[in-house]
Amino acid sequence: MYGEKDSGKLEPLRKKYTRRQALGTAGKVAIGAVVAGAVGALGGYLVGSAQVPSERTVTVRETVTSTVTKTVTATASVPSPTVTTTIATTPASKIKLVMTQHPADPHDWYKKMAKRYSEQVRPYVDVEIAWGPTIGGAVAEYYRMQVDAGRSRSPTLDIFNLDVIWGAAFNANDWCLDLSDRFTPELRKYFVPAMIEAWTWIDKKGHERVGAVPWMADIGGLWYRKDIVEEEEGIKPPADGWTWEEFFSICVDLKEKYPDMYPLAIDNAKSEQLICNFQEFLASNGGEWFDEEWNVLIADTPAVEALQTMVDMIHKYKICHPETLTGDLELARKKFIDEQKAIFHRNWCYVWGTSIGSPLEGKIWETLIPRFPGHESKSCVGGWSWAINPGCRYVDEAWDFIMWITSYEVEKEMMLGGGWLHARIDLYNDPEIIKAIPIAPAYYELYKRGTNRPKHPEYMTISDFAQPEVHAAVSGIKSAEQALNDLARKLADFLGTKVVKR
Amino acid sequence: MKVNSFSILLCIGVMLVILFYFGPIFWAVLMSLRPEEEVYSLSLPSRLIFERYYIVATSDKYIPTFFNSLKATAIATPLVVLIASPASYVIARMREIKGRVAFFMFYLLMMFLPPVALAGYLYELLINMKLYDTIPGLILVYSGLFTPFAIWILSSYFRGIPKEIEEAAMVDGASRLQMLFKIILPISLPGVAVTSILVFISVWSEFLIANTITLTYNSRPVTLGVLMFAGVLEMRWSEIATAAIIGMMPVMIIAFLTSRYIVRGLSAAIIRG
Amino acid sequence: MGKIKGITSFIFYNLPSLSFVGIVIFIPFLITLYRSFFKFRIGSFEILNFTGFRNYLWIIGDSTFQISFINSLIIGFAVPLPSVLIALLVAALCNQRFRGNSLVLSLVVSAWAAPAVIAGRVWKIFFQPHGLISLLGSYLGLCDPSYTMLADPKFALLSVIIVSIWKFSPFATLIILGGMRTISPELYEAARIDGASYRDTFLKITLPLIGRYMNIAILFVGMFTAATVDLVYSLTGGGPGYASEILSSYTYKMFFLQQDFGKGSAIAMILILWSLISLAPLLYFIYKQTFRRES
Repeated sequence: MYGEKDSGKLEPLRKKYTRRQALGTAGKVAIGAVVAGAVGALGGYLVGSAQVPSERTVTVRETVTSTVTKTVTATASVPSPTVTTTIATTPASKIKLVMTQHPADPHDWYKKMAKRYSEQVRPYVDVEIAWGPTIGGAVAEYYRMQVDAGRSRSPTLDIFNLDVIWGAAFNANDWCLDLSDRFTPELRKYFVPAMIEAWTWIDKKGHERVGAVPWMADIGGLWYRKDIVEEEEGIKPPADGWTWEEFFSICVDLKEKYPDMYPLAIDNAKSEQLICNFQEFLASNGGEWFDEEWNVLIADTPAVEALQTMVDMIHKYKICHPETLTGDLELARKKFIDEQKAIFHRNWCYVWGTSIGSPLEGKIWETLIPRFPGHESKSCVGGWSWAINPGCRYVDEAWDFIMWITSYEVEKEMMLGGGWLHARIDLYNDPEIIKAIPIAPAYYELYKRGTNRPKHPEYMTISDFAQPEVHAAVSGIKSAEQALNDLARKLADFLGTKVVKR
Repeated sequence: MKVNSFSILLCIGVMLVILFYFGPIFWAVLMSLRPEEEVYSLSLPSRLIFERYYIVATSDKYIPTFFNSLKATAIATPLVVLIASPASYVIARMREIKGRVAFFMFYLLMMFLPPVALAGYLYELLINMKLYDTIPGLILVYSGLFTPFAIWILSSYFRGIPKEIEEAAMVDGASRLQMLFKIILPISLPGVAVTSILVFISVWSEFLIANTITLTYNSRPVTLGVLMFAGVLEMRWSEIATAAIIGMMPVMIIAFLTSRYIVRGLSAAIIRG
Repeated sequence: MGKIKGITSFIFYNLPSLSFVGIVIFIPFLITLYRSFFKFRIGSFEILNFTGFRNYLWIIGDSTFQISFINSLIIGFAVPLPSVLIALLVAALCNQRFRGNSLVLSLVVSAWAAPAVIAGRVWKIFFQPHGLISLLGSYLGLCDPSYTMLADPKFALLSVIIVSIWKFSPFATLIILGGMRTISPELYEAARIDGASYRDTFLKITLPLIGRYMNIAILFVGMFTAATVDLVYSLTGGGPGYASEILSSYTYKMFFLQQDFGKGSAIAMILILWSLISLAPLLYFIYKQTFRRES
């Protein structure tokens, strides 16, 4: 154990090399080599994977039996819509599903429904809500949280709640499961077409995949003071909407007759809302952002006309409220509802709820967004949808939950209980719904005419490019043509494609 | 005690210091106890609501993060000390190895790299290792991040142990390993303790890397929990203050009790290098 | 033979540290360096395209980067210097002999131990309209009570500076105090016998001897300031617009909000360069301190 002592001499630092010490050294070298090898291999693997990210392949899950012989069949049918799911065997232990929820949940419907599902519908499944970033925190963080979960295939977050503009990103990058085999075309019929369209994606192999089931639908429309427009002036909005010219002349007339009111309260500040507005002008002129190969079409004539019309609306006809370029959506809504100073108002569906209990209750109605001659009226679509994490371990149960919560009765209950407007269009013809929400038929008309913002995985960046340009045009700083040319160049640069005209 | 201008100055100084450093914390405690409407008022609270601590402490929007922190720190701290001890010992002691300076400077350099810069790849690293949003993942990253710091502190302690003790042991023929366990470790226990305390404080306070490698309550530590907490039912500053105090308590209590050692440890590390 | 055994032992005992540090710090550093020359965005079909120095050129031209760089410069001076000054006074205080000596020190240390994010969250409450800071400011006639510094583009950075000083000066205090304690009391005795006043002893004995510790303290606080994102994140989130963005927080945002890992890696490299430049004196100092002394 001890080295041999040098007899008699005090040389503390000199030791003879015994066999034991030699073995010790050899052992250390061996262990060192193994550890170094392991770390080196790990490092090499990591460096290697850093170079070429793995090719993302679309995984189509087999719906049929798994080894535990569970078959889940979900049917949702109209007119007696019931969700029947049969699960052959129930697993012995509890399964936990974690879902995210939209940051604002005014009547706690997410919580209530999650609880009801866990307790009554499928007692062996526990649905939990993962609390996301704070409500004040940017939706960008919420987006990132779900991107992280999908990208990492983390088993700790199973069900997503995603904005419709994230559809392309999640689909193209395979951050959500392809549901096209479960979410069959027959089922898709019952939901807002534009939202289904936003969530459909053709991947590189030509296979069509659907990433999410629409849940809350939001759509832009033209609100107006029924008491002023229809009753006093006797103007009735046509069934397929006014043209922009007609609409502007009506507004100019009304402006003279009602000098202390603004004809149109619309939010044109530099934000995502501006792009929604622009999308409506663009789509109602048949314009498009990109062609099939992502070449940029935004500098083409329909788009320039559309943007020019937007500019005219503010500067030539001067029918917008004064803070249109700087204030936000809430300000515009307040002008319409609280201050009652606007006759028309372009906004999403929630305006109806805010009018209840105010002096304007029963006095407002919604009609189609105006259009260009020869084209259809288009309304910008927003809203949230359910998706499943590709790393989810209990896809059948997750699907079952989604089918349940998007079923006719459950959604009807939520809508009647002050919840969000849901994306099942068959709900909007239900008599009870119409009684509780008289404006439902108007929504139905709008849903039929939905248009989506560009369906590109990098939409957020596209929007970041577009907002300053469009805002420069509507502020009068740049001409519409100039702004769109600049935007087209930037987009082409960013995407690596060309600016083309049709 | 003489009462002259000097001691008056001293008194004022002491009060200012306590006010500046501890004032905010004391005020936060006050905010956490007072009724929500009075959160901003400067006067004394009309009543103290102690139940709030219970409410927040049992809220499942917050408490899981506390336990995640506890778990991660309880394992990461001894792990860091365990890893750092042999390295700091050989760096401190083996004069004959010429490369040891390089090793030490390497560790030091690694310690000074801002973790933000590495966060981008660490995120991918954990995903590739399938440790994303798990507590072992947190432990792995914390161990890597704080080992250089521990080596720095520990090696200065080891250097402070008089060489004669080791030389005497070597005369008696002990091997290096034996020397480590039977002699060095007991003597350096204070150093190990100080290092553990400092590592504990650092790990508990870590936020940025935790933000990038966690996702849900599965592994989110308390620093994230406090930031994301916005009240049990609705946004309430008093509840946020309560959550903050609960999150700060463990580190602050430990720091308070061991402040003497912390001072000694840090200054020893700086003075001795 | 003994030499090989020595080297083997040395490396062997270093293996655990090397592995962990290598995997968590060193390899990510290398890979980040490598990636900074590529165009790599998450969500853009995740393909790496070599672009050479284009990322760096873009960054230099980016207005947000310029703002964050200037802000980093500003706080690089505005935080360490006052911190060390305050730390000097506090350390001098704690070095005196009075009854509550260690209590004061304990309080300061425990305030330092509070996690930066949580402290930031607490301070944020103070910066709200009608919060402590605004009330103090209105009392001094500087602003009205409903003011909030966090939303003021001109002064948002100031809030970060204030909280940083609060958070980092205790560390400087510890360093300086440690330095003060190495001064042998005989020096003071001798000075007092010679009839020197307190101010004289402080200026002529204490200050010169702890000068080097003050330097170290400045460097350390500078390093903490450069590396910290916690305080910016929890106080202002980058400030109104980008007013209180600093290099480190911009790096984080580029990585995780913009999801551009190519540009993020480039900014990360610039950040590392920035830290190293300001730290080189510190590293050199520690090197001299540690190893020269032992000869």
